[in-house]
Amino acid sequence: MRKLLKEPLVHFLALGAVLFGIGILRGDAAGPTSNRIDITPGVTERLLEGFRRTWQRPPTEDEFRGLMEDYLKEEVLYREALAMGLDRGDQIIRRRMRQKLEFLTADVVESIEPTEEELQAHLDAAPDLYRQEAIISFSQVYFQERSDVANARARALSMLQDLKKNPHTDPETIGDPFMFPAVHRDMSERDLWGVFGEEFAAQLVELPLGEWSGPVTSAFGLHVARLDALDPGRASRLDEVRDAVYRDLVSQRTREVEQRYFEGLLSQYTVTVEWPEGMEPISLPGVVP
Amino acid sequence: MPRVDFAKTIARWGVIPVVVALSTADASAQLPPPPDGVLSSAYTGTQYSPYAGRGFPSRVYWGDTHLHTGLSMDAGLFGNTLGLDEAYQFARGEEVTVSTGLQARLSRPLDFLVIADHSDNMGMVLDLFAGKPNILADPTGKDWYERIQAGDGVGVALELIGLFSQGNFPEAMTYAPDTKQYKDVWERTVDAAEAFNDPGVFTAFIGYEWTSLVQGNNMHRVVVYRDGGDKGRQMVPFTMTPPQGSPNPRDLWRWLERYETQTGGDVLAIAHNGNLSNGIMFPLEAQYDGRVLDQEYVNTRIKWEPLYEVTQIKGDGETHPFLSPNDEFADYETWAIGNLDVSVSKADDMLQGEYAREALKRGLAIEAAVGTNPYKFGMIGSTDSHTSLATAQEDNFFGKHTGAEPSPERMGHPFMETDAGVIMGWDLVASGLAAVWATENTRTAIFDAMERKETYATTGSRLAVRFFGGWEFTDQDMNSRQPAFAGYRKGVPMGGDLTARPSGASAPTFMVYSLRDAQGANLDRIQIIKGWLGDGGETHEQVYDVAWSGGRSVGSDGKLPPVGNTVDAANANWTNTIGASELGTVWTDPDFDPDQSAFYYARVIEIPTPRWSTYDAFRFGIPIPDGVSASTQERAYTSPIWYDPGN
Repeated sequence: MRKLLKEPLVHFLALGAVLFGIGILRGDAAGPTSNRIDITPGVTERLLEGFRRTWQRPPTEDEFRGLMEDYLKEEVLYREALAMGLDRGDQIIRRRMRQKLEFLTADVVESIEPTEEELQAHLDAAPDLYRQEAIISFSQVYFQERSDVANARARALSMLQDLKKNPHTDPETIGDPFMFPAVHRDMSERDLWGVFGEEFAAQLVELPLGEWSGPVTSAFGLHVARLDALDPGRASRLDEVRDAVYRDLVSQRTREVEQRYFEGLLSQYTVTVEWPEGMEPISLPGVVP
Repeated sequence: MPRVDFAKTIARWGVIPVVVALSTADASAQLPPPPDGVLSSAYTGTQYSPYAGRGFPSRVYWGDTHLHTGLSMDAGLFGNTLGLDEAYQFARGEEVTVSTGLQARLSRPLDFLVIADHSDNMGMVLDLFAGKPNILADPTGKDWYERIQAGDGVGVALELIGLFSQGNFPEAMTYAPDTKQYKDVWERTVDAAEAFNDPGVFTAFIGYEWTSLVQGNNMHRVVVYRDGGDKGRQMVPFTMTPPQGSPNPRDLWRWLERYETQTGGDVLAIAHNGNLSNGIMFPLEAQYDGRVLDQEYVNTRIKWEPLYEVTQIKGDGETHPFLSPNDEFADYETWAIGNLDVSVSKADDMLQGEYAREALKRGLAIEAAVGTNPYKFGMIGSTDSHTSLATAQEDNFFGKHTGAEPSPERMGHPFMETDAGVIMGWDLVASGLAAVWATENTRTAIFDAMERKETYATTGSRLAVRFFGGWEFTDQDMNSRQPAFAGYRKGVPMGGDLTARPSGASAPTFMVYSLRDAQGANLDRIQIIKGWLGDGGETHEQVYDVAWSGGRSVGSDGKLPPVGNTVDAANANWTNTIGASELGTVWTDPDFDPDQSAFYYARVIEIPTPRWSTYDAFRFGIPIPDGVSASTQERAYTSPIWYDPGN
């Protein structure tokens, strides 16, 4: 009996039977070779529930008849298909069954709460992933280069001198027309990179604080810019990023558990490979060479 | 948080932050207004600070509205083993290991994502119930609990799963009183969207794809929710399989109506590129089932479908050279072999019901006949990738499905092959993206922008485009420091309707400008495409070149010469020595007839850059397939602006 219980198929059935309390316990599954189809209240209720969850109302008489007729047709054809072995070698069925097992693993892992220490360790292992982003405030004035780069540069330098003399000039009112605003408050590093590009961002953060400087180059042209504030960001505390760490740790654990579960199952099999003519063998985990 | 390479830059900063007295969350300057009379009449702002009091978007957000994970059966069938988590992580800019074992990462994170797995596969597992194990009720369970506390959660999970060999499990497994129904795929989908939604940083929309197929003809729609999980969970998605579902769009719209009535929520639907519908995506007189386009159809369609997916991996859907023979840019990544499963090949008379420009024209005709324009849609692009990876850039293209992830063979293999036709691997298009002008990066702001159609599509680049329509735009508006102020004040943005024509105005004016992708290529030109309804009830179209780089002039044939080509195919490279980093103009319709309804949209075209197939050829050291162009000109299509003579 113990040996039988080690069989992976039995694992699955037992797991299904116990963890999920299916029809075997509730008497609505006659096997595929039986000629009895018992449509129990459980079946009807499930069909109604399915309809309700789609439409948020009960079915009309016609719709209900359609549901029941369709169920019956499906049950008959399903049994016949099973009897004919049509579930074998069907990639979609195999995929779906594998997926259900993967959901099971995910559910089990989710039901085990990570401890504080585990969350902290996960955060400590990848601080860059969870860090508080740098926040930058700056002003910029744009000069288009078009075909006359030298002219743009001259205009930019001239504007720079004006700004040094009149630093409170509103940057929205000077320079060439530009797609984006001149003044940006509390822009995250990600947004700065995304909107202005790497070239501009790299130069901007090197500028002296609070002083109009430049010209700075970007993919678009020239800018005279003033770095107004720079919060370089920092590593996060767990309480600041708990949700993200929790989510990622559970996700990682699910993948680990899936892998180890599979390895545990595989170790109970003997796998051999017959390589086709002329094919170079590759090594597979768990396979007898 | 994405892992962006700022670590080394930050190390150099080490600067003490300077507190700025006026810090706000968005990009507006807020200086006190000057006393009246100080502002020059030439200045178009109402206050000294141009941004004070504004409520319009000053930022464009980038996203994919149509991504599939391994949860979609066809994706899984192709070998996609990546789930919801990986899809979100990749979109947020993290590096992931893809199904084929390669490492992949986006050049820049996306701002938003709609994971739209096929609803038919979400399947309700109706006969299973899962209880949370009542672990502590059993001595073994208590031991597990202590080991969990000591940090061995993984080990305990394994034992839990594999415990039947010891035969002890049944005793430990009593159902907790809060036994709940097994989490179906839909609930997992909603949970993942909730977990990854990060207002202000990354927006994860709840969504799914209704996968309507009528004899292989594709009428899919992606459903996008403005709502969170509390509403999203209340109803499971609509499928295409009777009796629960239906392939008829009218029934999908009924489900959408039901959802909003029952939950108080807000949803919209985006139709899949029509190029695989074999003509049934945009009917003119009757649907595929023969039912005539009545009031109910036209009113309901436009109510639920404010946007259309004009470009994606399975071909570009703006227009077709057969429909637009005078448009030298019409034959762009055209897929016209057949329907989705290539069971029926394409016939010319199908084309009119498939492409965006023609649909927009049809909409005008239907409006004249029935009173409402059902095809008054805005444009977005998306990938429809089935790899869980939202890749649309030529130099970072991971294909439509796992079998088309980078490998030396992927171009040469057929993607789809039947007696009716073949679509080759190299036919796949590295496209598209959805660009949204929204006030902030949140579900509500981006959804609302979609509903008002302040959006545009690109074929994978992140070029910024503004398009405004009004009656009084001038060159001075274009040359003002921030043209958008004039744009919103004197007109309507992309997706809008021109206001009533003032008595002095002879023709509408449009202000359009574009800025190249910071990481990409210069611009070739901006065009405005007009469609209108003639007096005899027939529709027309015309493409106008309105702004372009360099010293080119329109020839005697009415065509602007090509911009040139710096693509070095052998090295998969190009230079930005041609084109312009930004273009803009104010354009007046020279052929305006105030009695004819019309639409106008902008198309911005980049200089040539290497196509993804050229990158493959370079990286794998293989030839570019015969007949495949080495270069491509990426483009953007804005939502139209409509003119109604009766307004």
